[in-house]
Amino acid sequence: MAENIIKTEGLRYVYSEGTPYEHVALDNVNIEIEKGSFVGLIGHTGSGKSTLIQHLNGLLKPTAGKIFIGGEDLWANPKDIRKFRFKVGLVFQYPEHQLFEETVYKDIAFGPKNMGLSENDINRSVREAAKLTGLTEEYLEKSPFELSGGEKRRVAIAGVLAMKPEVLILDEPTAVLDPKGREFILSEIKNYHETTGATVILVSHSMEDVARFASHVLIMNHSKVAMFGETREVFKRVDELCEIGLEVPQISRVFAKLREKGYEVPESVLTVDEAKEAMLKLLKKGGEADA
Amino acid sequence: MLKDITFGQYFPGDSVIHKLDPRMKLILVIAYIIMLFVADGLLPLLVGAGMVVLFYALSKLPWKLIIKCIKPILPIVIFTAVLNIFFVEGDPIFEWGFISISGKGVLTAVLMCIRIICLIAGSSLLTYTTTPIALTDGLERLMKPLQKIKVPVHELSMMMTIALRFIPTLIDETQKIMSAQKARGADMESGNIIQRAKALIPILIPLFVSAFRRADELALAMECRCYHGGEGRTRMKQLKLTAKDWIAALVVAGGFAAVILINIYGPGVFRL
Repeated sequence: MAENIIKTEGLRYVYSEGTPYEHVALDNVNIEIEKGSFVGLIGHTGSGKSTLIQHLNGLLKPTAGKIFIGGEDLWANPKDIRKFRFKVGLVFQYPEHQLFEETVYKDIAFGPKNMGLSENDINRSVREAAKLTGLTEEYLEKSPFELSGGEKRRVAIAGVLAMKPEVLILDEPTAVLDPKGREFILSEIKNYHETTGATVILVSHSMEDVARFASHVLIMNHSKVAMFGETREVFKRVDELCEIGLEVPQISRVFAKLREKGYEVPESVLTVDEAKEAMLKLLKKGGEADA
Repeated sequence: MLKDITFGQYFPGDSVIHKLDPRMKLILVIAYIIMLFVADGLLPLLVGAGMVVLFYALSKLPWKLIIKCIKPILPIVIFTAVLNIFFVEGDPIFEWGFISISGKGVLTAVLMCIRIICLIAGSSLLTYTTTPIALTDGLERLMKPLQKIKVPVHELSMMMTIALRFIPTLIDETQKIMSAQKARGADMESGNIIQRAKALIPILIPLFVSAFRRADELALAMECRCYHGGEGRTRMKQLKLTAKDWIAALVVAGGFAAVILINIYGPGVFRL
């Protein structure tokens, strides 16, 4: 059993308590995330996903409950909170809106500089992060404001990666990007996950992306954790997911329908590659329905 | 920290006061303020205070809101009171060295305090019960006659509406950018003034960039919907005066009349 990098106990958060705008955003959230796992976080808009991830690096203070990062209580000493910000890197939605420096290099260096690294270490971190996100040398001296949307986003993500966080959290990093940009960003996240062994939490609306990359899936619904488990297990619960109003990956749905019709296909097919295998196996057997 | 800034401080509700026409509310508040200054004694001012209490009760707002709006002006109230007590000349009722306090001074101080508190409570009631958008709408209609002397009333009110509309958006945006920079380890809570001012740069630059972007987008969106100024423009929400508005007007007029009558014929006690 691997150790838990993130653990929450009875986490609760209420927005604008005591005003007419009061709203419970998180209600009794208990999760344990294993070190090195890749978690897909899914839920409707307003289900509490963004609130949850902002708790994990101490940007929001829970109304009740506790958060442990690597076994340490996040709010044990509020003065130490910045330490956790470097441990848990958070990439917000539309991170390109946070760019501010004159050059790409300086912007990526903002995080490492705040960590108090030496000039040499900063330089190395920035170049590594730039490489991970496919930003070549010539980008580093450009102004971030003259880049395209996709490039800006890569710079912003590099700004977080440069802090070498043990946990990387991304809030819909592929929103409004074209297919090529999406692929690129997803593969660079996967790359970071594999080369550093960091834990990754990916907030996404795309079931396909989650199915392809995540080892675990966490589903939020109405401020509560609806499901949490291994990807394959969660996506088997097609009916429950539909009840929440979420979908399973298209290919899983096709195979669920095939099973209904009596074809002998595996219970959970998550990606197109798996589907190909399953189809070929079925065709070899003759592909007759049992009924 | 930022969420404490309540602008326009609208407090949603469903009361009679909330439903009054914003134009009528504006006029009545102005009338009420004039009335407070016409009142020249304790008795008429108490009539004014009674009216504020009555309207707050009708608005069904929590009472602590009155205290909330008075709190920030409390220093001014106390300052005014102290000035009046010591510097208004009259027959001294208390003397000690060079300090002399007159009965007239104490009375003026009390009256001024009541006046200021009623003034703030009354005008706060307007902003508590009216959305900023309704308020600018009402203002635009009231200022319409000024168009005759070439005041760009519609443009002014459109600018006000847009500015008000974007305050929450920009506060939201600021909060997001602050969170994003904090997530990258920005430290805004410690250091001396210069360090703190420098720590604002990573927030202000993205905020300006996004404000300009939003302005561009909004201008484009308005042009796409053929916006060309106020001429010939109709409104989705027509303001209409109803029975409640006239009743409210009657109540305020009644109060005003009472104040004037007391001023002229009332007893001479506690008068200036």
